[in-house]
This record gives sequence, C-alpha cells and structure tokens, in this order.
Amino acid sequence: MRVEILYPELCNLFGDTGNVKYLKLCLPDAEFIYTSLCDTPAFVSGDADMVYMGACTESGQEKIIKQLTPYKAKIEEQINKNTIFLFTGNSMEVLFKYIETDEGEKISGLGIFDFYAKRQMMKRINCVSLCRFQEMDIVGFKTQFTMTYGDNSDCFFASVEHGIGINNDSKLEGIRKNNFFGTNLVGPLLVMNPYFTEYIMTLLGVEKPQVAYRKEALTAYNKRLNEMRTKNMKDH
Amino acid sequence: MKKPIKFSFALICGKITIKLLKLLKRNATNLPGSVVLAICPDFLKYLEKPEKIIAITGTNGKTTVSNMILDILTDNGYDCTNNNFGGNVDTGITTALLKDSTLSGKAKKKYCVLEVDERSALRIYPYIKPDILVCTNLTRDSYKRNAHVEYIFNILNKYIPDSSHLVLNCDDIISSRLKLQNKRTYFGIAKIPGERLIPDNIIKDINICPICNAHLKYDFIRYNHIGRATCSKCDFKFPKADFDVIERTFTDDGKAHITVANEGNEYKYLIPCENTINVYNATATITALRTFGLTYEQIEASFKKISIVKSRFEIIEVNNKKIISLLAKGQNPVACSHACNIVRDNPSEKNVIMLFDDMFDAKYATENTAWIYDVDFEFLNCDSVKRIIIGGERAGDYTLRLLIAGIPQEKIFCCEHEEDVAELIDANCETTYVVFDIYNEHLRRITENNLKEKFKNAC
Repeated sequence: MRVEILYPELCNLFGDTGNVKYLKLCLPDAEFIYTSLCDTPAFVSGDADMVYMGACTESGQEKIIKQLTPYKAKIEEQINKNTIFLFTGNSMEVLFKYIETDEGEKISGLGIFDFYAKRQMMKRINCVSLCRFQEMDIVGFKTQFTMTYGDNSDCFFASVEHGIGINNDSKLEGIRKNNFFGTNLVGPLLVMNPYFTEYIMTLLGVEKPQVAYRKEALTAYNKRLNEMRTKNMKDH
Repeated sequence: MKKPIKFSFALICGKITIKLLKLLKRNATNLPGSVVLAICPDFLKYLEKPEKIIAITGTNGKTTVSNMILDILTDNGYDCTNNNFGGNVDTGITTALLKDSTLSGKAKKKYCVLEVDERSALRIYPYIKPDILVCTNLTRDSYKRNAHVEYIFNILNKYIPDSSHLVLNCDDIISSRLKLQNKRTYFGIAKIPGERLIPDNIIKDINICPICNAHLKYDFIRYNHIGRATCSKCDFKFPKADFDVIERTFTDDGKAHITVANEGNEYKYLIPCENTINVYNATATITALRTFGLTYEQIEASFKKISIVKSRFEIIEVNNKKIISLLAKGQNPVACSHACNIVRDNPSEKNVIMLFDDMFDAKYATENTAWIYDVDFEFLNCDSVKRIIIGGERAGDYTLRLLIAGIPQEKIFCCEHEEDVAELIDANCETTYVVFDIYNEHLRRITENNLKEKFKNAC
C-alpha cells in the first residue's frame, strides 16, 4: 500500500502534519512517498493508492497549479479508477476552473471540477464545523480566505449541521467524486475523526480497520462532538 | 496641512479620556486611542509625530526588543514617546502619541519607540514613517488571526514606507527579504561552536528557494527556519550579517557574554539574556541603536543596567524543589515549541504541567486545536521528563497529540480541573515546569501556590 503526500514542503500550514503522522501510525505497513515540487508525482504512474495534499499559501497554490497542470488527465484518470484523494484546506482549489483574487484576476486552475474560488485577503474566515458524511459525524475547523462557488448538490462531501458549507450560503461541505474527497476542513481532520479515518482505511483495503490509539481518539472525538451539540456555538 | 475640526474635537475627547482614566487610577492603553479613532479615523495623519521614530515589529521578540531599545535610550538621556504599556495596534499607538502631544496636536517629545503589531501595518505606516524599523523575525503564528507567514510578509512588504531604514535578521530567509529596495542593516548569530541546534522542528516556514523554487540547503538551522541557507540550484544565499554574533557564553545568573563583529572590529557585551532567542533580541537592539547613532560604549554600559521582564520565565525554589513557570503564547506553535525545547534542555528529572486551554477561543464555540499538531511535543519524549500533566477541558486532545508524539502512555496524566493538577505530579522529581498560555496567568498562580504548599508539607 502506497500513500503519496503531495508537496509537503508547501502544504503544511494548519496542523496538516498531524494528519500524515497519524495516518502513518494507523497504517504501519504502508509506504509513504513524499513528493516535492521538483518531483514527478507517484500517482502519474499509478503507483499511489492514496494521495494526500494539505493547505498551502496563495503563492503556493499557483506553484502547484503550474506543476500539476501537465498531469490533469492523469488525475482525472486516477479519480475515475477510484484512487483515494484527500485534499484539505484550500488545496482542492487548484483543481477548480479558476481562483479569483481581490483584484478580480482569475488564476486558471486545472479545471477538473466545475467550481471557482474567490479570495478576500482582508477577510479571514474562521469557524468550527460539524457535518455529516454517510452515517458519520465529522468535526473540524476551517480557517481560510476563500469561498467556493458552484453547484455541489450532487457531489458534496458532507452536509453541514453547524458552520458553513463551501460558502456562506451553502450547507453542503466540500466535493466528493468517487474516492476523491475535497474539504476546506484543515489540519488534523483524520486525528479528530476516527470513524472517518477507519472508513478511509477500509477504502485502502484494510480489514477490520482500527485507528491508532483508538480509545483516546474516540474519547477526544466524543467530547468534542458533545460540546458542539450542547454549546450555543457562534462562529468567530 | 489643514486640520479638520473633527481632528481637534477627537484630540480634546482623547485628552479628556486620558484624564478620566487617570482619575479612576486606570492605565490609559487602548481606550483613548479608540475614542479618538472613532471620531476621526485618520487622526494619525494630522497629529504631529516625533522627529525620530524607531518601530519594532515581527512575530516573536518585538516586546523584548522594544523594551530594551527604550531602556537603553532612556539611560542615555533620550526622552521617548513609547507604547510599552502594551498597546501595539492602531488604538494603543494613537494613545501613546496622544499622551505626549499638546492640545494643538504638537509632539512634546523628539524621540519615539513604538512596538507595532504586524497586521496593523496597513493602519499605521501610511501615517507614521519610522526612521528605523526593526523586524525581529517572521514565523508561524495564530492561524486564525495571522493566517500564514506569507500573508504577514505581504502586508509588511506593501505598507512599510520606502524611506524606513530596515534592521533585519539575516538568519531569517523570510523577513530578510522585506522591501528589497530599502536601506537595510542585517544582524545575525553565526554558528557557535558546541551550540545545541534544533534542526528537528516540525515547522519550517520556508523550504524552497524564493528565486527558483529548488530546495534550500541549510548550513545550519538554529530553530524552525531560522538559520543560514543557500539554494541547491541557483546562487541565492542568506544575506551577510552587518552585526554578527561570533561568540556567546551564557552565565549561571541568566546573562550572556557576546562578541559582535561589525566592520572588521569585535565588540564585547554582557547582555541580560538566558537563551538564544533573547540573544537575537539583544543583537537586534544593538544593531538598531548603532544605526540610530549610539556608540558601542553607550550601549555596552546601559546593557549592564537593564533586565528582561521575568514574567515569561520564573523560578521558585521550595525545599530543594524547583518550580519553573514558562509562558508559552497559546495558538502560536513556534512559541510553544520553544517552551518544549527549554524543558528538554534541562537535564534534571521533571514533571511538566501544561495549562494551554484558551478560554477565549472556546467561549464562542469549541476551541480550535489544529495548531497543536505543529508544536514540537516530540521534544518532551525524553528520559528526564517523568510525567506530563495536562490540565483543562481539552486534555483528551492533548493526550492523543502526546501519544502521536511518542510519549509513553504511563507518563501522561489528565486533569480537567486545572486547579488540581499539582496533585498529579511525581513528588520525587527535582523540577516541575508549569507551561502556561498567556490567558492562564491565574491558573499558573494557583498551580504554583499548590505546588509550594505540597513541597513545604513534604518536609
């Protein structure tokens, strides 16, 4: 089993290293490939069972778009072949049609998904999020400058109970196509959501998946979930 | 420049607010500035500024550097307007200037030392043009407020005036590239023989060459991305230090002897610094003040008289047991990693009490703990750490984080009621660290008192 971490030198902003560390502990027999900006990604030759990319800076997004553009068809091919992709924070935006800046400039993305992101660099969006994916509650944090626009009603990742979806008017979070999961939730998404991590492990072919430190992970998860359900939460 | 009526009205209201606060025996920090800016948002445009302004910004160390610069200038007879009462955003800076202005808006003092919050650059520098601007460093800070380093860099790069002489850290590849056309003087610390370097931090905010995107090769990394790097592909390299610390020896009483190389000469100082971070702060101070025009002799003599505020680091000894309190700015992974490193570097057997819960962040929702995955809790995975006691509601999250860091389960203890953490220490340990967030000062005091009682009663 091979897990590819894309561009860790750039995509490490909001606790994303936590996801990778935890995944390594959950999948002790997996091989982890760290692909830097100068390398050809492993998924291009079909050598990755899972591809992970975390949040990065705005200039980082542009560098990544440049690097990944030649591999657009390969990414689409791998998504269609059910390879697992988990893109957190703003990383899924590189696959959109474009990212619009404050000045109205449109930075072309790979155009794999029919969405666009709009940046507002003087308006930081922070919120906690509680949403539902299949039968699972997903908890997490958002911290971003962008909102996503487009219709994800037939390809969303999770429905939102608390917090925002892909934009302020949306209650549908992220994008899912086959085993591609794109979400604005940041950093320790896998650590905070042991059931979702076990679901990913199942997709990777792990029989009877058990996350690392399961008891402690579930204790922290249940406490957070309970707090989010009982507290009168406000975004800030 | 013609001043509008609202400026004069705001000035009077601000002065009255300062008087009222004085009558109420309250410090004038941000409130007078808030009043003034509510009435006249471009108040700073019309207020006369002191003739010579030194501003200090950067992620970590700006308060320490501001205080050192102010203390040394004061010791040398310079009467300076300053905001060392704690307001480093537009309201606090307005209060500072307002306090030292006449009723007609003239500056009473010729000199000024201002600590300036990085994000406030856009509200400050259009009106206040520092003659000398020190940037201590730019590293990762609160995600929620400061997003990421590139974001802060871009704000500073856009708003720092072209006329400001910059004093920059050559060991920080990020901030050393601010405003490349401005006049600049670099400070840094060369690799010291025998120095404990920390190349294993989780976070490095710059890994690739800012010119060609190839990997950076570090001659050495002191911590995070602070060190001396060259590009693996092009001819990019760290800038040469104009003021370079080439020797450094720490004393037993919390000071350091340093030798600073400048223009072919070597200058020796005794500085009130107990760690490398503060040696950077002292070197930034020396560089700014030499740029300002003070002589080596003036700075050297003044350094002997000043001390750093101890609230960030305090040692209490009871019956041969040490209680060491360490302030670690919560939500700031770099500051918390420094605290973990300080704990690791102390060879004595110890307990580590962690009081990191942020009640303000938790007030509106559940606390955002994404940042703890960028803190080097791995540093606490060493033989000399006997117990880690986590206090607060988020104990479950910290437990999981510590386990991921490789800390053995039997060393981790949790206590949701922070007031009771002292009960869980291993009493055989010689040292107990209390590492606390800036908002948990009250819990730190309670814990210190409980520990003191425990150690007193043990004899």
